[in-house]
Amino acid sequence: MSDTSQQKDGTPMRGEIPVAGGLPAVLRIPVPNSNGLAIEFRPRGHVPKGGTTSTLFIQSPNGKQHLRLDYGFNKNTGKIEWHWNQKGTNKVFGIKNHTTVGRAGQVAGNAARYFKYAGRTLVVVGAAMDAYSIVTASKPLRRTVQVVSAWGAAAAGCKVVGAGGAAVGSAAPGLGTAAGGIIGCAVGGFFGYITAEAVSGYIYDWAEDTIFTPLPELQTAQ
Amino acid sequence: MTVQFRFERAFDARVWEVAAPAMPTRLLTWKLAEDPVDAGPPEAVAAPLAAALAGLGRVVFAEKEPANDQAVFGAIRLPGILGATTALVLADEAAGVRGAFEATGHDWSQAAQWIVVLERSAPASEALTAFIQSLYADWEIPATWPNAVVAVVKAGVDGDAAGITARSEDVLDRLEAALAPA
Repeated sequence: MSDTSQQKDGTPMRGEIPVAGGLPAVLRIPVPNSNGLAIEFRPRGHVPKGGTTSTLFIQSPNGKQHLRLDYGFNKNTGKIEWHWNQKGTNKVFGIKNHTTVGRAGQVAGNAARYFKYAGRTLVVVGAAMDAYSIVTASKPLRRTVQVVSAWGAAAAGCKVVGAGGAAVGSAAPGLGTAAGGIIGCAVGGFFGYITAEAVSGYIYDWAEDTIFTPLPELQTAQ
Repeated sequence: MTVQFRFERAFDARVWEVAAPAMPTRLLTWKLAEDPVDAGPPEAVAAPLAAALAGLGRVVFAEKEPANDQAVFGAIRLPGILGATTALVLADEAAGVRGAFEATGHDWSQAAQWIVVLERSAPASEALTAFIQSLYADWEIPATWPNAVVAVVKAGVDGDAAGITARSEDVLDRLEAALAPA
């Protein structure tokens, strides 16, 4: 879709790419048919001072049910390694507590560790870019409407497409669920952003150009 | 399901993610015939451990959403920008102590829980609340140990162990005896 604001206002930069890329790190990405589990990068509940050793969580809103990718001592193998810990999610994913992960799990665990911070940074960068676009726009109100609409739709797109991605990825439960959800969230966030930005700009222009013509007064019969 | 408890005096506190203070401390681990599917202490562990702790004194632990039938000992402020508070639940019986292993917001299986055992006659006091707050804020046992505190239990790595620090070896011996096979 074309961006009328960019054409008319010469918007120097927009936040759709960093916002879409960073949303999975800050939003709960729902996993369908899982009794309210969602993909996140931090635990629910109190985190010890030294932080958590887990990097990827598929968990309930209060964190009591969870599947988490953890790096630490695995008492079943006697090694410090990447492994799954789970509580109350075995029926959904079929993964037992203390299950060791392979190479893909190690890569995912490490990637998640950095993405937790990188994603948040991307969202902040996206917000700064959009704020700059508002400040420098010839029509700040129009640009504000676009940005607010874009962020709302990006969040909704992230959740909807992310849930779809998680469902598809669950063909490989756990890692596949997370990968599908995260990729779906980013894709949904991107298209939600650009669609809402374009549509809200169009509606704003349509409303702004609207002229209300008063109807002629009717003469009442004497 | 049969369970074997094991107390160790020498252990790597960093690997087991438990506190390593200068006071008498032992690491409690357990072994079951079959590895549980879920994280956290299974029934065969939670029930005798809760009974043994209740046998030492009154038990206090953090619970973000205490139930109506749980007695509240006080509240502590957690570190963080938002400065959330959490309730401290008081349990005199084994059934109540079991709540420490299932507490909302302080998941034992994620090593995010402390259990403090107090003298039976110990009333709530600012000093005790400050001691418990320090556990959750600094994540280590404070240098100052109030007289009313009998023992402190820290959930170990993945909730698979417990680091138990007591004011004397005698307390640890009593706990070990309580969990010894009949």
